[in-house]
Amino acid sequence: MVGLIKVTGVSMAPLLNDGDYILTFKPRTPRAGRFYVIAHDRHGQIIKRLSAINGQMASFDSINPEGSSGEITASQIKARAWLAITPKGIKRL
Amino acid sequence: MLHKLLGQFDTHIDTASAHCDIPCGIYDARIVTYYAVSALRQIDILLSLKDKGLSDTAFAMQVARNTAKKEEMAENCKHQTRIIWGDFMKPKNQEDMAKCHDAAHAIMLAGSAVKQDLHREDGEKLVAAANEFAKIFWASKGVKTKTVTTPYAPNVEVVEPDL
Repeated sequence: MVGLIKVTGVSMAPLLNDGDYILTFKPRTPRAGRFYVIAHDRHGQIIKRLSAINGQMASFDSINPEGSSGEITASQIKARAWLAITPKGIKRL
Repeated sequence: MLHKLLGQFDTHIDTASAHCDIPCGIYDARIVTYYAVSALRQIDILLSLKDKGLSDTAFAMQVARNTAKKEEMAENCKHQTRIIWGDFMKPKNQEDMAKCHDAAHAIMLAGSAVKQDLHREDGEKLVAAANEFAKIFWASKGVKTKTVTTPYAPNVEVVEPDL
C-alpha cells in the first residue's frame, strides 16, 4: 500500500529536511541502507535508515551524525520510504 | 511545485519524526555524574540524621524527604544514562560496544541498589559507574577527560571533560 508522510525534524538532514514529504510503500524484505518508517516504542512514528538487519532484530541510524540510533524488531518496520518530495524537486531514496 | 501543492493538504498528511532529542546534538555525560553524586550526598545526609538530636517528628520528616530525594536522584541518573546510551552512543567497534554496555548496565544496577537500601558503598558504586560511563562517552567524542574532586560534599572524584 502506498502512503504519503510528512517529515518532521532534522536527524535525516541533509537528505531529508523538516517539511519534506515522502512516498512510502509496504516493504517486502527490509534491507540495510534503505530508509524506513518505524513504529518506535518511545518516539512514535519515525523515519530512519536501516543500518543492519539480522533475522527479527534490526538497527537504525540517522544521516545527521547527531541524530539518534537504536535497535528495533523487524515487526516495527512499517513502510519503506521510496521518494522524497522536497521544495527543490523529487528524488529517489 | 508538488511540494507546494502538498502543503495545501498538510493537516491531512500523517507525519514521521526524523527524531533528535531536542535540543539536537546536546548530550553531556556530566548530568549522569551530577545525579550520581547527588544520590550519594543524600545517602550521607540520611546516615548522619541519627546524630543530629532531632525530635521523633523532625527525624521522620527528614528521613522521608531525603529518602524520596535519594530515590529521585538515583532514578534521574539511570534515566539520563538511558538517553545517552540509547540515543547518542554509536560505538565504533565491538570492544567499545561491550565497554559501553557494561558501564551503562553497572549504572542501572548501582542506581537500583541506591534506591532500594541505604548503604554508602552503593552510592560509591554508582559514582564509580557514572565516571566509567563518562570516560567512554567523552572518548567517543574525542574529548580528553580529567578527574577532579567535587568542591562540595560528598567531595568525591568525578570524571570531567578537559575542555
